[in-house]
Amino acid sequence: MAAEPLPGAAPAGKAPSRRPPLSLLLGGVLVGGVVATALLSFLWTPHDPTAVQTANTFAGLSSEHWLGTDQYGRDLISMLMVGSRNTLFVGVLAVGIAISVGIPLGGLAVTRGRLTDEAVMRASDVIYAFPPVLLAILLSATFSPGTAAAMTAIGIAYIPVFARVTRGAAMSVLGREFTLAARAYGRRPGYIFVRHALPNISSVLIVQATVMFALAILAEAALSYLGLGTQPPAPSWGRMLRDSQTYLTLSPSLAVWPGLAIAASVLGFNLLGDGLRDRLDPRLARGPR
Amino acid sequence: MAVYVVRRVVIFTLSLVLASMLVFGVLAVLPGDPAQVILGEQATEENLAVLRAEMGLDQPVWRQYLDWASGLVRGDFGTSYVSQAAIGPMIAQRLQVTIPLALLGLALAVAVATPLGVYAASRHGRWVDTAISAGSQIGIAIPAFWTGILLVMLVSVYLGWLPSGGFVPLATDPVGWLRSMALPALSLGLVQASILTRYVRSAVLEVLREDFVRTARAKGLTRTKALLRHGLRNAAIPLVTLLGLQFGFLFAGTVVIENVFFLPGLGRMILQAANGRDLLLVQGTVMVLTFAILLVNFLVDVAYRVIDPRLRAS
Repeated sequence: MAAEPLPGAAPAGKAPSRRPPLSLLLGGVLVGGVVATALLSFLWTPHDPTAVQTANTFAGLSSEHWLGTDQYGRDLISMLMVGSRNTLFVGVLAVGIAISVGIPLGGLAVTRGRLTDEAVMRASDVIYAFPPVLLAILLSATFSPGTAAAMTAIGIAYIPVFARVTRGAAMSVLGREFTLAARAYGRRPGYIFVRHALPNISSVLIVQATVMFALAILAEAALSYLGLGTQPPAPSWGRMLRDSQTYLTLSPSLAVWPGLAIAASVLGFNLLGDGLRDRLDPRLARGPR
Repeated sequence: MAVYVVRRVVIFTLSLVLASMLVFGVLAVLPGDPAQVILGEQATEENLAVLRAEMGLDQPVWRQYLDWASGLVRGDFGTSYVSQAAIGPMIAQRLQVTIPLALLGLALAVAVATPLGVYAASRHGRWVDTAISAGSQIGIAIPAFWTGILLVMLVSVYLGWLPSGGFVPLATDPVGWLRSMALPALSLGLVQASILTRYVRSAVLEVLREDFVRTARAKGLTRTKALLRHGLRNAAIPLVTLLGLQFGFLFAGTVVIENVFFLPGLGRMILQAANGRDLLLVQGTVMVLTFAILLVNFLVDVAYRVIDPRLRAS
């Protein structure tokens, strides 16, 4: 006699697939490509990305310059490679700022009673009314525009997102039995949040961080395009697009490659976020896709 | 309902006060002397002192804030240091470009996303659904300003159909106005449409699983009729909230898009003001944009209750 399947077990022959979702694979490849390119750019680029060659401006695709050269004769692929480094750098620090302030704020909101909760959430609403570009303009008007101002602005703008996600996810965990047991044991709310809630909501936060990274790349590109992000001579994708606009009739490809690089990176992080959501927390996988 | 609206009004007002403190604080309290920033490193001490007195910088910070904030309430934004013109009328004039641009972008996004999202949901799991989902995923990854540059390259440079930039006032030439706004609105709207399509699809899918749709089908309605008669109205509720939240991003988008197409809107003015260290103009413009975003969020919160009788009852 065959053994009875356990209640809730998957029907025979329909075991849940362990194969990673397509979005995770595609996202992983795209993100891996960008990260590998950025790392490689520290060791090697086909040419010096800042080397000006006035005799070789607007060169087409060739074995010497794979994607051609710009208006100053600078090698496009080398600029794109170093640009990926700046993009990731700003993304990591911006999301880092948002996480390191947002998660503790969310924790405070959920552990310190109704008044603190209300205050944190209302403050989040106000910060949320400042899109990164407005914050960057505010910061640039006071300090000089540059990478630091851009990533601070993006980081501050995304704090409410992490505060809200942390609060929402932690709230459901803090109502569960093991946290009630910890409370009965005499543990403080802060301790319970760090030791019991955080590990249980880490998957939600990882997914959120991946998605916010994609948004940070878009924001950094927009700020660099406006001249508020990475400053020359350091190459940045947004700035390359800004410069390309003057030469649309002469060399349209200048406006294509940096845009593709931005879109591929953002798509990569978004797909990675979707894939991770499916893999780490199937309950959330029903969100918009 | 009245209690809810009063509560929301109080929160909205407090949010505005907090936002004004933030805007003022970033520019006034952070290290650095605005007078020095405006006049540059070479400025003499006398000139700096005169400018500080002129700008009220010799007053305590709380006094400076109260002067500025009470001015805002009266509609007096102060005078631009660079152009010496009153800031209020400057902002009002620029809004005549920015508001239509944002609204056109939003209208376009809704017009594209609603049919696409509904169609994708009604063909759930089929290749059309996959294609629309993949398309919107790619659309989200494309920066609006790159869409703008590509549209200029295709529609203006190659085809020569529309101008690549510049602005024609509506009162002067309505057709010329529409031609000058078409590409900027399209750039702004397409990215928003990609985001919205995903949410429309998701909201409709959610509603299609509801019991009342099954009941409607059991009563003999076709899938399409059940969707149109019962599904869409219910799916609209979460979408109204999303549109409200997207409004902030839409306004932020106008700042970038106006610079792509050289439109004389608020976005272009604020960037020029930031570059020229025209601090009062930056403060005023950021405050107006933040006010608009908070106001829309407030209206959406209230509209949410009006649309959904279930929430009103609770």
